[in-house]
Amino acid sequence: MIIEKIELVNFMCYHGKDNVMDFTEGINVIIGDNGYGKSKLYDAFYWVLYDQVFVPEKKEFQNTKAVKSKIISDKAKADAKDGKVSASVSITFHNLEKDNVYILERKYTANIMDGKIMETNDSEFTIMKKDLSYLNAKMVNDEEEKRRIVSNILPPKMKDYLWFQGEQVESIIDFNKQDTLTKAINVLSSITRYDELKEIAIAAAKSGNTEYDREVRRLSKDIDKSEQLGKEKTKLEERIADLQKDETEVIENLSRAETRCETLLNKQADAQKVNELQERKKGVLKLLNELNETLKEEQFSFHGKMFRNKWVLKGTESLHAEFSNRFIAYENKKLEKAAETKAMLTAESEIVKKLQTRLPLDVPEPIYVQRMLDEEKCLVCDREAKKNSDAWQKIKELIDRPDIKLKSTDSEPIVKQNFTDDFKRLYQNGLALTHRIEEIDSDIKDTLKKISNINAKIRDANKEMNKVEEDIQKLLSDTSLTSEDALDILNEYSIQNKKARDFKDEQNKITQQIEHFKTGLRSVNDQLKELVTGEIPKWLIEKKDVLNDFEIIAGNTRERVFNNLITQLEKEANGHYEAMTSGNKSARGQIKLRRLPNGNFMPEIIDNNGVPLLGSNTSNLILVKLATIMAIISAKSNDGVVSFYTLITDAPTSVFGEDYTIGFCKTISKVYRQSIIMSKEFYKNQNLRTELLTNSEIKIGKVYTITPSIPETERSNRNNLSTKIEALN
Amino acid sequence: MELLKKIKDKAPEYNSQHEEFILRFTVGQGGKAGSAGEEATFEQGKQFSTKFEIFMYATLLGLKNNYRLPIPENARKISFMYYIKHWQPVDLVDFILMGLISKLDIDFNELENKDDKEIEKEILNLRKLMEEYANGGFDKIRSKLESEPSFFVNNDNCFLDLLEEK
Repeated sequence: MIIEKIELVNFMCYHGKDNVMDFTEGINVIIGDNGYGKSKLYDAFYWVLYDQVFVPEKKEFQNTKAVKSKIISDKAKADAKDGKVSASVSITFHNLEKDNVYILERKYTANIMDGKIMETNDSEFTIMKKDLSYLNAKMVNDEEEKRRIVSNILPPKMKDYLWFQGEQVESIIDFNKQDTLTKAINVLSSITRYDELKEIAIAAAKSGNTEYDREVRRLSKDIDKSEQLGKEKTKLEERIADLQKDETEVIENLSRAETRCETLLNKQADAQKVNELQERKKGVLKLLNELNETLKEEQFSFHGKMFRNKWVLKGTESLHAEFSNRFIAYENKKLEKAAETKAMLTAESEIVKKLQTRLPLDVPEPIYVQRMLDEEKCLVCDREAKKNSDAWQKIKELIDRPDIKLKSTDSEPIVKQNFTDDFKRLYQNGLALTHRIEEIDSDIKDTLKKISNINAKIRDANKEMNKVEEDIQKLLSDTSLTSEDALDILNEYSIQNKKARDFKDEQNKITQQIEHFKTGLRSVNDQLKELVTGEIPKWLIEKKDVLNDFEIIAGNTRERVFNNLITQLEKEANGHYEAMTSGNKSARGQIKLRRLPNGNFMPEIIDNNGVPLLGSNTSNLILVKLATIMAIISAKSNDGVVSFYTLITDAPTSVFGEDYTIGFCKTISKVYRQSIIMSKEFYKNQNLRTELLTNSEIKIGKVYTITPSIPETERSNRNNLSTKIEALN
Repeated sequence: MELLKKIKDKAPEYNSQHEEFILRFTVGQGGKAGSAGEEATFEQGKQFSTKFEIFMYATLLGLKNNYRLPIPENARKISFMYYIKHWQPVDLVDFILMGLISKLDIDFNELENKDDKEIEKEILNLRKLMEEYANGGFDKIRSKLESEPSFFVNNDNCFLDLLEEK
């Protein structure tokens, strides 16, 4: 049965009647970016068969009753005049084996009155059946037959594995639910028949044993004793049954704890890494802060050093030299003047020394001395003293003497101002600073070197910080862990690990108890046997033995068949996993379906030595799940499942990235006769698109692009929204 | 008479046309008074904590390059609120005064022979000299700003580098 065609009329963003897509065998791809209408197309398929669409806000599928006129294109509603407006989707299924066609159509109609929408609750569902040997299609009216046809097209138990959205992959194969695979196997195989057989065998063995026990009691030589032993036996059997129940429960718990441990162990390695990286980040951050603080201090003081360390004086040595010259000249001149004065004073004092010093000052009084000079005669000794003669000069000295004396005793300063101290201070200060100027270059160099060293250290620390951040981010995105999660995981792991150990201890204890009671039971059976007087009929013994053997064989057979299925599933899953990961070297290991204590199986990735790989990234886990889903389907290829049903999936590749996309398409086109996938990976990446269309290993069907008339970001008003469908091949 | 004391009791003026870049490189707060800490200077991306610092820098730049530029008569002048005696560090202030005094066109010995009134005149000459050398320095900064604005952007050493330029 393949899908030949889907036609959408006014369905959500698919406005109008021209929304038709034909499909063929192989992989059919609908390409569109986020918000372009891929999921609405998936909805269209789902709506026709199940009367439900996916409501993103609620994250669940809801019936037409709940969404009502939201199914109808906004543009169709806006354009509609009063009257009816409807949305419909029809899908044409072609059963190639029987050469007949089913056209399934669902339609929702609303009334518009005065521009207001009057919603109805239900959609109409019609099926047209057409044998290709006949011209006309026939409408199927019988509801029961309609249900049967839908169920044939997509059996409910298969639905989850054939029609799914990318984000559902997680829940279809849920690693946290240990019975996921068992359920899938139950759905897809006849294993339940073996379970029934096992039940029958257990019941038969029980009835054989009861009949035998009755005979043993009947032939007893001591009825009372037998009666008592019989009661004891029943009690022991009940006790054993109770303990077995407890054992089953403990084993269940143990399985759960071990599974949880296993899951956590997977994450624990990552969590440990995240934790270590966080610690490293803290360390680097501390170092960075210290370095930044030091740098800041250096930078603060750098500006200050311009003045504090006198860097501003760089290259100003000449100023002091200039001043120095002038100062020296000044000093010299001053010294010269001082020397001159001194010399003059010395000369004066010499003169004074030679002066008439016998007479006290003003003796004789100056008027008499002047008279002597005028008369050119000494009035004291009455000798002649001609003008300008030595005698006359001597007399004159008596008048001049006060002047000479005045000069020598004069303490009045040489200059009006004395700036010596100021000039000296400037000179000395300049001298001291000039010595500092010589050191400025090396001081600046040292400071710059220090800053440059700190900067280099900061750069290194930043680099390391980026690396750690990058590692953390990569780890977080690979593992979908947050730092808090990581801590939680580490804590929970130790809790679950302890739980698992406790359950194991409990299980051992119960097993020992069961063994103890079974020993008691054997002893009671032996005692009962000893009380038998006659002979137990041989046929009865044989019957009991055969039925007990049958119970064992039925159990073992069921186990063997189930294990074979698991082996086959594992083989298929690995085939798909390898095919899908062939394009990417980082994918690693192989899928192993590990048996849990309670008989369930869990998928895990192991390396070549059978050691589970811890910390596998999200892409890998999703691929394992997809491979497992495909395996569930492809393992049934003998039953024609793969050739009969179409895989429809929305954005299955979005979760693991472009590297695996081609591998996925190759595998899909090998496993399924027909598949329809919606993908954005081929939207932007032209190389990927070309490869999809040309790779000979991909059996390609029809490829379409869908484009909305208004980009998603500008869709405040959807009344003009329509979707353009273009065929690429 | 104490010459230095007299000189330091003066406050020089500068051409208001430089005010824009003075403010750009000097911490706004405490500008004229000038007492911003090193941290504030750095965090504000400024190079000088006070206006007198940039003035001292400009004077030294002028002196070093022997570039003296009179402030035009009609220019609006801005005066420092604080006398030179309040400027810091004192040894730098003295160094600048030393440089200026040696540029004075008068013999030191003759200076000592002048009376107070004449000395006062010489001190005013010295202040003018200081203003002219500072104006020369400011002019060099201005022309650098105009010819190579990027020189002052993201360069902590710009004023240090400017000292080395001829």
